[in-house]
Amino acid sequence: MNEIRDALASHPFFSGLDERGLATLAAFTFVRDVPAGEWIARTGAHADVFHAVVHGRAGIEIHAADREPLVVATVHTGEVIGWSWFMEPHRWHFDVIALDAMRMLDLDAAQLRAACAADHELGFHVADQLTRVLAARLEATRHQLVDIYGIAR
Amino acid sequence: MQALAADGYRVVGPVERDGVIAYADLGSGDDLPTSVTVEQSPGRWRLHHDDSGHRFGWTPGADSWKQFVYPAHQEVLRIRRTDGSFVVTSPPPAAQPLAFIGARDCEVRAMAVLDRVVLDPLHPDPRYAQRRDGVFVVAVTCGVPAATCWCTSMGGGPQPAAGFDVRLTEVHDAVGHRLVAEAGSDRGAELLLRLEMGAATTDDLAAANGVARAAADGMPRRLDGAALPALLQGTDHHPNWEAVAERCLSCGNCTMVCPTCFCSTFSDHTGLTDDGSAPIETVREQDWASCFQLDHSTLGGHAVRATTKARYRQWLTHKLQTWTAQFGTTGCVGCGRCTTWCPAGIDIVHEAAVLAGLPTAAQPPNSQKGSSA
Amino acid sequence: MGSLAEPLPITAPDPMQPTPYRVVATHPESADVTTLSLVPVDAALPVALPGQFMTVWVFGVGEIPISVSRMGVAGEVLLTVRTVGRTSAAMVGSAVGDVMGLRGPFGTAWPVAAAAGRDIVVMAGGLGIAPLRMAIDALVAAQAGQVTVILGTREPAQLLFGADLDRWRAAGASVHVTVDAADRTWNGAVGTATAMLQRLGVHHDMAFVCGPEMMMTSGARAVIALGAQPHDVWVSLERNMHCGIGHCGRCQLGPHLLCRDGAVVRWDTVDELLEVRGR
Repeated sequence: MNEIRDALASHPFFSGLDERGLATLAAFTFVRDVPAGEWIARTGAHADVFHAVVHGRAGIEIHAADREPLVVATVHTGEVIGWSWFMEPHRWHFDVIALDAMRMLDLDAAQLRAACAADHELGFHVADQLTRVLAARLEATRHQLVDIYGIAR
Repeated sequence: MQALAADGYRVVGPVERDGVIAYADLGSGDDLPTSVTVEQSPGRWRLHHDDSGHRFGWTPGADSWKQFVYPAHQEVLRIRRTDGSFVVTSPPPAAQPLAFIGARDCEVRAMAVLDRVVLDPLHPDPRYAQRRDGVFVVAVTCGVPAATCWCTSMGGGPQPAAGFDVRLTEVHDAVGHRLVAEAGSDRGAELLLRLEMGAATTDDLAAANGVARAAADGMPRRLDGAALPALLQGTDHHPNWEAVAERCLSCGNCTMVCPTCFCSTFSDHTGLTDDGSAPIETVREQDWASCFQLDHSTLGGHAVRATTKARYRQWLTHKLQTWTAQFGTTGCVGCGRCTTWCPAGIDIVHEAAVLAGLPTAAQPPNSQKGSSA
Repeated sequence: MGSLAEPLPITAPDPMQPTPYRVVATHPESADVTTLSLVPVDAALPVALPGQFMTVWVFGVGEIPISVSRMGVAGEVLLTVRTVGRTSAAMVGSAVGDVMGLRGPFGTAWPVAAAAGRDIVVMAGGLGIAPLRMAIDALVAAQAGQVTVILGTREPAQLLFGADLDRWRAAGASVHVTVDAADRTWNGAVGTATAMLQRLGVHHDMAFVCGPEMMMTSGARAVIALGAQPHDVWVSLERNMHCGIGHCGRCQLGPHLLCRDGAVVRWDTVDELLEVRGR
């Protein structure tokens, strides 16, 4: 249990949480090793786990019938995968694949949501951190959208 | 004028032509506009005649001396292809040095402002330098400022203080009607000696200074020009830009009549050959341009200032604010041309005052805003 | 400036006059980017400093400003150009032996000397790596302070100067490449240069940023958010630098004539100007 607690405490997403918060999370966090090439999430599947990357690299992939699958973002050591687990309908919007051998902290999403609702200090921490992730992804998406390296339209 | 012509100068000065005061080659003093007065207000310039016999009773028109040293169109150089390279030739320099007759203080200062830009120490323009080199300036004290004049707000006065070889002041008092001439350089003094005019008396000089003082006191527009660069800071989103843009036609008249505007276009022209062979010569030309042109400033082929609001903001802030940072002087000499020749009558003094949060200057006493035909 | 009536000496050659240079090699870098190697036909122009630009004139086509990618020996100039308009297309399509007219070098340089002993991050977006090449060369050669290079581009096929990246790494620089999108064969990061900087998450004493304006704005703000002083962040801004000598007035950005006071400018002198639409 202490190992899990320490792993959580040293992950940037959870750093700053107090002992009580860490202990709460440790109760439903598991360490998982994923080999390269394994799917971590599939579009439409139930988002019942929140993944925090301990090391390794995952690719967020978008696919459609008219084009080759495209990696639109990579998630690296110290970062987290997605927020689909946080909001209804708790379904993944993208495919996520392990591009390297990875180690992740898997948190049970239903218990995490319940913990956030019960302990607003913990809930605020998680929402605050997720907002930062969202803001960065949103800016990146906008730059990709306007194709800043392309010829200006 | 005849003495200057005899010395080899190309003598240019004011003439009455097509109902305006234009600057053109002069033959003799008889070519100068005589008994002429000028009425100016935003969007209006009218020439009138009286029986005063005055030589300099008028205020300038759209022409400025810029057109002689920095022409609206000029050939820059020619590039001719050779076997495996190319050679560049420059157009021949002007045969004669220029003499300007009747330059007002605002115009003398405008030449100094333009010098700072085009003769910057790192990359002086050799064509401008050649034309500018040794210009003989016969300046004249402004006795009757126009209603759009504001030179005293922009660091000048009606009487040129420097930058001339000879300074004339037209005096018409109880003693009589005369031109008081003062030398501003050795060659100016030498010219005056040669002309063997009667020496000016102390009273003459006092009278000349009196003309300048009266003109300064009667200057219709006043604004703290030196404070404008600081006061215009932070006005990027001022609602007045939008208000001006509703009237501004983005025609660029203000930039074409401005005696300091220097923006230009360089373009290469490669002519066709008579026999259909590959062209071997390109002529590089320079033409006046305007920040009111949509394609003046671009990035990646896109117009940077796509709206009239943005272009007017560029024009006014460049003249009254950023020019100082760029070249160490103000970009405006207070001549009022941009206001007079604006077809919409947009008044730079009024707009600057609104933007800078200064009391808006009084309308010119003989303003006929809105009544121009 | 003396009195108006005083003669004004002509002290310099005509800055509008192109100097003949001959193409001696072409190095295709990607589908639409080529580096031209040019040597003077007769006399050479002055050596360009890192970040300076030259204008390139192609007979009968036009003249455009191009950042100097690298200086070789004996006056050799390397120019990396992307097909965008007529003149750049003519350059990309040029052959060994073709003669072009160069003017310059013009503008400001990256303040490489001021980076001595300081940790610096160099952020390049797309073709923005070209004006930074000589600066990175100089920074890694000086070996003072940690040099971090972040290179962002649209897709792996558009990555430029792969050999340089290896060389900079070997010289001790920390080099990070990221692309906007890739297929799964791409063995690197996908995301923006800013995202990469945030991932590193460390303070840098100084930053050189060059790329599309949006990328520079985002990158400069992110470097500052991580603790750099705004006056230690430098960006390279571009407008239509038409004459290169401050006489045509087209490349103005507020108090800056970007061909003369730029292209390399201090972030705190342009930050607020870039926030205003149409400035």
